[in-house]
Amino acid sequence: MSGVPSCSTDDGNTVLNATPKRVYAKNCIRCKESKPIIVFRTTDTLCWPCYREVITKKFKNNISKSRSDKRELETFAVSLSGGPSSMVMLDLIDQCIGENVKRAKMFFKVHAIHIDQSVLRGLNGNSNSNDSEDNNTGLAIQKQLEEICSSYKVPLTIVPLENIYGDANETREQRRQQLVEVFEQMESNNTSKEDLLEHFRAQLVYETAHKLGLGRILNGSSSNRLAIRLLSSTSKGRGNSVPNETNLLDYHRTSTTVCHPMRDFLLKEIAIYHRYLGLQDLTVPSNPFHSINLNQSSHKASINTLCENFINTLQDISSQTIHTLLRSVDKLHSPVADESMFCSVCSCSLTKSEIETLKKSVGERINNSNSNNNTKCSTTTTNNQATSCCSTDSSKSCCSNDNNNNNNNNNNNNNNCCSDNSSTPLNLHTLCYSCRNILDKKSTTLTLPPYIKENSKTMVHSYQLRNEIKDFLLNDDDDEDDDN
Amino acid sequence: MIVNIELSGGLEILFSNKKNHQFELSGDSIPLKQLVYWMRDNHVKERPELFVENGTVRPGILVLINDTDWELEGGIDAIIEDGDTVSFISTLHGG
Ligand SMILES: [Zn+2]
Ligand SMILES: [Zn+2]
Repeated sequence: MSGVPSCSTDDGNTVLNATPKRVYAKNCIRCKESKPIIVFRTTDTLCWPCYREVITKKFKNNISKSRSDKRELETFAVSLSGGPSSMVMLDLIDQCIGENVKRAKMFFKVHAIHIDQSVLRGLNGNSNSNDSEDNNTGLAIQKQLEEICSSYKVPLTIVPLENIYGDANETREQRRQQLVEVFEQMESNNTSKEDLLEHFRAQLVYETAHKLGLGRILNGSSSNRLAIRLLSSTSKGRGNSVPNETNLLDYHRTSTTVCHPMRDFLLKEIAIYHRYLGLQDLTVPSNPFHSINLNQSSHKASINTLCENFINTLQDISSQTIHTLLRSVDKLHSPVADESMFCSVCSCSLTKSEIETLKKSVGERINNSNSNNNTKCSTTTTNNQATSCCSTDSSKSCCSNDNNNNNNNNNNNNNNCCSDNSSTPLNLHTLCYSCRNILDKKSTTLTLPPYIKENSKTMVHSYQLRNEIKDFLLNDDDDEDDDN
Repeated sequence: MIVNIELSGGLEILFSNKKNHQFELSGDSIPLKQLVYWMRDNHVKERPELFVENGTVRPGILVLINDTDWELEGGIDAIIEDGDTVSFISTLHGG
């Protein structure tokens, strides 16, 4: 594996050259005086004050582009994991709006949101990491975040990950268990675990921002992370949403926009900045399933980890790799479907064909129930509790087992998805391809967070409503006739 | 000579879960490459491939020499002297 992969274009021009060994200028190339601390963008040697100015300028530029209305005093939600990228982002925000800013002060406000995932500690399989120590780490991160936010005068909301199941006080223990069980049932499938965690975290940030009345979220993903996501999403069949997920602005559903103002910065650049801030490094890997596993050398790496290693190796060979990748994706746009429908789990846009399949499954159900003596939810639900809405093919339907068990012959009386029955299975057609892969076969045994079924039900229901009233609606042609 | 080593970003787990180390070595200076091999052979008990790969520090691990980007000092060919601090910062999610 020591061979250097060479990447060339069709016409044989090598586009990625190995970074040559260089002799760098002794002094900072900007102020021509101080001792440099970093090689920035392959050639520029910069001292700390100059480096900080360069980064701040780029960051301000990205924030400007992220704002919807520059005349309004907008408040951004800031997603704060506690890792170097988000902490550096917080400092850069302070360089834009803080009390000490003298020149070109910007006018906007921020509210930090931290998702506390301490509930998942101890799930990474390292038996030597003992519980109390982990708990202390969790508390230490929270304490450090509280101190830092108050020193920047930024309000902070901490939300425990188990609140993906709701936030009632008395059910906290139960929620923690439910969440841990979901991840335990994913067994050794690390890709599924990591992806599900990512979706839950994102969902909680959206929910929290929404409750705070904030429509724009600043996310601290570095260019490394976005490039890795670009590659891993594509390998997982999420290519459709890649341009959205990795661009400066990611439109989430129709109500929220996620901005990536750190998208121009490499992890190396961020780590050096973080170091000069003099913050104590309390970072635990933001993903508990990702931490270095000492016990199992046969430990199966997730797709995400494989992509990370691949990108890191390429970046090591040529320091332009990551920027080249992200610049290419700038030119791409997610295909736009005629209608906006979003995955119930991860909120990415469903593709045209996924929407068609969903409509078909819901449509056939309506037709079936109409032809069968017009029974709606009320009378048939009890018989067919386990009837899946997700499959229209009765021979393959997951309800077949249950029907046999119950000696239930009402095979054609399909259950309506609008049923209030909470045990109605999740309609898998309301999920995107990769989330279907994660939950397929498991969706009936897992106690999934309620937001998933709610999204799914709302989606199916609104489609049904539209379908039921469509005969009463005037279409465009009729409209024109009337006007004439 | 004495070399100070700092490990962070989760890398310390390979080094008995300790973030700060002070190593005493013979001679006045040592090439970084040799130091890294020595650390791997004497202090990494499990999964050494997570620290050293293809004759250098594994991609995704940042190296700072006295708080300065190691590229300014020649990368893996840098010469480490008595009293220097070498920091290894893992940016890796996975292992
Ligand atoms: Zn300078
Ligand atoms: Zn999805």
